[in-house]
Amino acid sequence: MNKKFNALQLDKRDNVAVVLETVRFGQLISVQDEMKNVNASTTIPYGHKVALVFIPKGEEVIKYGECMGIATADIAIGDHVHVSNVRGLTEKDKRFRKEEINFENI
Amino acid sequence: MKTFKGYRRANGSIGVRNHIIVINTVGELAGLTKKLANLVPGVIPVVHQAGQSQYPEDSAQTIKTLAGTAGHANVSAALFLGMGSNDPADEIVETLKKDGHHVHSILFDKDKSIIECLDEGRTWLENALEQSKKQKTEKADVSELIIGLECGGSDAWSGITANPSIGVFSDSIVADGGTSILAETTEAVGAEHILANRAVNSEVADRFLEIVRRYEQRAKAVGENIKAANPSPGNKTGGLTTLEEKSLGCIKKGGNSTLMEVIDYAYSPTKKGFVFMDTPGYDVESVVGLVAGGAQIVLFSTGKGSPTGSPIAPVIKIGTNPKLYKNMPEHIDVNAGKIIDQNYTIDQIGEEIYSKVMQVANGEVTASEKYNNQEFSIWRLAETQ
Amino acid sequence: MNYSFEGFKREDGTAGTRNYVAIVSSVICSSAVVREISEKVSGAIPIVHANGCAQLGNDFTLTRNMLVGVSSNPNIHSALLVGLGCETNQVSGLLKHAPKTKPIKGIGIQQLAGGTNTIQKGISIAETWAKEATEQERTILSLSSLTVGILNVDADEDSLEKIGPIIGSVIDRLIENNAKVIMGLSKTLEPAGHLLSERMIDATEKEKAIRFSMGLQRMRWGNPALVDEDTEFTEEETKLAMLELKMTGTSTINSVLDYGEIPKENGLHMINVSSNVVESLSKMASSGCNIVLIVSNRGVLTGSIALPCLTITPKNEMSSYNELIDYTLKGSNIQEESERIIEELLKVCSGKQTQLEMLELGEFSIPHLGTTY
Repeated sequence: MNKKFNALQLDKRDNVAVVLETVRFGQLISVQDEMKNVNASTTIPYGHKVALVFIPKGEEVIKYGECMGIATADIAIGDHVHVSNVRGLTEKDKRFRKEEINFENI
Repeated sequence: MKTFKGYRRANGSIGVRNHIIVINTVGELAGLTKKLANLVPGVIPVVHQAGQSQYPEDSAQTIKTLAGTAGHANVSAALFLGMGSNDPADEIVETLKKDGHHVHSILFDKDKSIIECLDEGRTWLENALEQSKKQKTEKADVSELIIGLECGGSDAWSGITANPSIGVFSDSIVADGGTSILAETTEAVGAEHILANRAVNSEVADRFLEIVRRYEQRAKAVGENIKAANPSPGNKTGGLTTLEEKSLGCIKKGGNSTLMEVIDYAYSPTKKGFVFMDTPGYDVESVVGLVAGGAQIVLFSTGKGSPTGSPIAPVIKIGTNPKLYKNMPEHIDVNAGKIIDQNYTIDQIGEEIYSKVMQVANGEVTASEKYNNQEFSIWRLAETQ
Repeated sequence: MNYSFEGFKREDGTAGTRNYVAIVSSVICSSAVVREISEKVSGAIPIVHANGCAQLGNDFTLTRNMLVGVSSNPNIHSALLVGLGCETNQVSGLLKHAPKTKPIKGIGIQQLAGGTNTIQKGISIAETWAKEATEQERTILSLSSLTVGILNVDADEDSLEKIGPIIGSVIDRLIENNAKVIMGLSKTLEPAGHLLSERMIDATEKEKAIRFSMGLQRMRWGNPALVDEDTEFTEEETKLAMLELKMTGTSTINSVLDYGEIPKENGLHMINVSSNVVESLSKMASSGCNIVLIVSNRGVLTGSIALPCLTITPKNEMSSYNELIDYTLKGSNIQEESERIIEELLKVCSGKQTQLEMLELGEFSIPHLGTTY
């Protein structure tokens, strides 16, 4: 059995983790494998996301190793990451990403 | 090197089951198809309401699906029932025979009584069943497996536990030379750029973006905006923040492998590795397309609990949360909920899925097979004429 | 002539010609459970289909209405709705629209924690109802409690010439005796829309009928236009439609039904159907028919699971599937023949099994209006 954890980082590149149980303010959140621990800054319901690092406003929120949205406010370590501080991508955001495709490298 | 014991077919494909099926070409024969199957215990009826009075796009899709099902590696022999003068049964059977399949067709027509037709069918099926019992299995490599990836009755945990675990499995089998087919175009809307970014070349990327765009337009044409309606209030309560996140949770069943090909409904992959099939999000229709395209086994993640299966392919159910496994163990084959309450990692469940796939390929019965979940329905494109 | 038959009287004034306990799946995912329950309970029939989830708009409404409609059918003594739990077509939604005049209950696989429990629970509910249904006796009823469906299946020119006027007379007589008649309106009759429109009351329906006589219009996507208006009817199709028109009799057409609508008043109604026999019979079952006359030049290989289907053909050397034909025209006298057909119809309504029933060839299916998502 692994070391006890209550949050999952779905990909090593992720700046958020999913909590596997509802955590309260100040509670320690430990992520699998890594020795990453953060303290919850608020109540975070199970299945929701917590910030593992500081995510400045305008930066990408990464889950599954992919960009799942853009921070609409500065997000501190341990913050609940949800609709109040993240927005979805616009076509413009996506186009920007599409231009990065370089098929020669694959 | 991972291997399993399967049934080698004349066309070189390898089956993990050895089924005898009877299948109707048109809806009017549904009743007689079931009746005939009941006369020979062990024969599986593959019954549907398509095939009659359809526009060309639907007729073509029906024939493609029926041929793919009857000519599937898991099928030892297939009997087609048809009727009337323009029935496609004979033509499908001729094509399949050229490929070495053990198939036959019976056309109900005015020169024979129904009882005579049923008798002829029974005799053929009984012989086919006898022959199938003599077929021996042989050792085959995992690279010969095609695995369909599906989700149904999803919940907030689907994208966290089961789907990423399936993704780990998918990457592993692809690395071992096998094939995995991701499906359900509806569920990729919003994250299409991510899969397109992973395409092997710009042609595949464009094709993928095209099928997603078509889906959105079809929904819009009946007044629905998939992008505006997602994530739903229920999704948000469950922790999903953006449409991209929701869709990522679905498409992560395909792991991080390169997207080699985009194929139409019920078509077989021409490349090994990770491919995408254009199917609806409707589970049964999607699974039917995957299997008709050659998937010998389907992985199916479920959060609410869905019992559905396939008439000819074992469907492996992956439960997303511990409560589901506790409540409905009879419908779950792999409990990915252990990630939540027993500190298993996604990688560990991915490995567990891989060993389950190998066991099932070797004949282990899945939950949907045990309970005779043999749902079959072909994706319809237009209204019947 | 005073017509009557022996049927099962229902609280809402309708009457059953059969007395089934229907086990109805809300979605394809619960169909295996539904089959299992109905196999274990004598007198129960499975209403299974391929729809119920990932549907949008009118396509979904049609599915829901047809399932409510078939549960309401007078041949159904009681109905047990079996769902999965997470489907679009929720059992609670079906129950909300279902009639309050007969025993109807809903159960779900997810709510009961699995198929095994659901089957057990379903059997115990259905067995109680099946016992009640067996104890109910047929009583003598008038034609006014009957709803008769009329479906043309592939009848050719020769057959239509022989049989059209006779069926037309059957319909007129049934209506004179206050029965409801629902005539299938398929693409074979549509070219006669402009003539049908003259017998319609509702202005919108008149207009629609004129429009559909101009060419085949069905939901279809590809580009993604929804209606295919390009196919005009051929001369041959129009000619056949004029012959089929005779089959509709002379009565006023009170309404054109769709979406599992049940006619409110007696008289002649039409229902949009396709050339898929099972889908068409299922639509009729969902609109309150308790028997269907299938008019064809051959036997039809599948009937409706919920209704007796009486197959009538003209005398025909080339006919096929003869063992499924219930009645072959004996002569050409319109009066005599229509009289005999009504006599046969009433026998079947009173319990005589049709050929399709004897061979247990009955199905149910819901058409799609477009695609699934």
